[in-house]
Amino acid sequence: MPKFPFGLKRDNKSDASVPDFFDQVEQWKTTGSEEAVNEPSGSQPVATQPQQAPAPQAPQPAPQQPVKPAQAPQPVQGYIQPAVSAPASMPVAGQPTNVGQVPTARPAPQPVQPVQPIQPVQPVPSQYVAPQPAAQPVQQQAAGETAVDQLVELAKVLGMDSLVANWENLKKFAAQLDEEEKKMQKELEELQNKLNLVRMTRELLRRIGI
Amino acid sequence: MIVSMFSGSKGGVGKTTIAISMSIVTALQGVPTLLVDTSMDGSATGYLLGSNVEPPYLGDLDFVDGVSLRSVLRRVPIIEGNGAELTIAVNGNQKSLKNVGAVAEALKRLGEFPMIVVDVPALADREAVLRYYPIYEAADVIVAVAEPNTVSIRSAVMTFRGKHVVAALNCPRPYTALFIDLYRKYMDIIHRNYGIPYVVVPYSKTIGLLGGDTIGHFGGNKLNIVKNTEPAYVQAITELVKLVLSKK
Repeated sequence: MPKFPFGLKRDNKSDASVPDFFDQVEQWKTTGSEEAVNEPSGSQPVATQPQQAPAPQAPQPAPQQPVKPAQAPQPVQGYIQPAVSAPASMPVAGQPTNVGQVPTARPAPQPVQPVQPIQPVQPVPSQYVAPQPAAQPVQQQAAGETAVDQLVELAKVLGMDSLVANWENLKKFAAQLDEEEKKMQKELEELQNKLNLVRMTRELLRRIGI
Repeated sequence: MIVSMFSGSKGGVGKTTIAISMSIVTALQGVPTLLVDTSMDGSATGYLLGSNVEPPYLGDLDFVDGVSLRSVLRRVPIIEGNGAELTIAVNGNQKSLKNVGAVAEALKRLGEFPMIVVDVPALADREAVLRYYPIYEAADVIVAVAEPNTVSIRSAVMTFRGKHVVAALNCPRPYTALFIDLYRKYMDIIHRNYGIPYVVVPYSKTIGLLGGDTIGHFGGNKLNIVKNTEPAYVQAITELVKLVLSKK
């Protein structure tokens, strides 16, 4: 008979900690920690090579989406009927305990040591490849717009009115296209919603044998 | 209802297989079901449609809204002749999603699918977590898939700030009954302490044979897993679907 995992006791009174996913996400977004997502907060990474300094932290890229507040559970949509009753709500994980963690006798990670001239510190391969910050298209775009604006101003000064007129016409045309796209997209979504309602109504009729 | 698959950093535990199985079982009940493949490998796409799927893929979309999302949907017949079908948002060709947040928002606005199952790859590193977490924010239910071993359960079973979480103790390979019973006890404790119900999904020899490019003895109805796989497997998947739908 193998040992029970996680300190599980035969009397089933053991405590089993379950971390919260979004707490881990918040922690990573705010601290940029390279801690594994599954580790309960507060746990220390296992130092498998205590002689080496920790890998340097790469700059944290900005997240794609802003932090959103936790969403309230949404009601069940459509006509799916609950097949069984929901389990009793239990408290969400608060502060995970140290059950299942590596014993504290392990070596703690060493602070970064200065490079020694005799034995220079070798680059430490990191388990996680930190993403490099992407190129900054916003700034490039802004710089591009500035150059174009300068070109238009120069054309005005040089008396090349035709070039300026064409350019401004193109900008107006682009704005018209943007408006047209928004209008058509709105119409498409309205039509799609109507189609959905028609389909759902038909499906309900089928279900009652019509 | 958006159902997102989760296994933490541990891959190969059967997320895609369970996502496909749940989707087929739901679709066979007559519920319009959408399976969303977000993996670069296009595992679910390959299983249902084979390896030669015409683009566009989900990873091709620069701008994601209801209209563009519908351009990557494909209908897959489950049982030929009676109209039972599953819809899948295809992906693959090593293309990752360009804006996961926009995909999540577009899925929330899709009205024609009461059941949407999102197959998310394993979140192997910090970048993957920060990339895919909007899918879990948008989800109504999270299905945590774990194998009966310590690493997998510690990786997969989490809370999601009060969201409905259902665990699948899956056996993508044969495990001894002793081990399954051992970890079932642990899942019982998690259920009591955190309200996370679970289902033990037994090993199935045939579920892997029903994929797109495989040649079996199932004819055109090979995706009918209710008919073509072991009864114990079907029963477990059905129970899993019931737990998912039990969300209030």
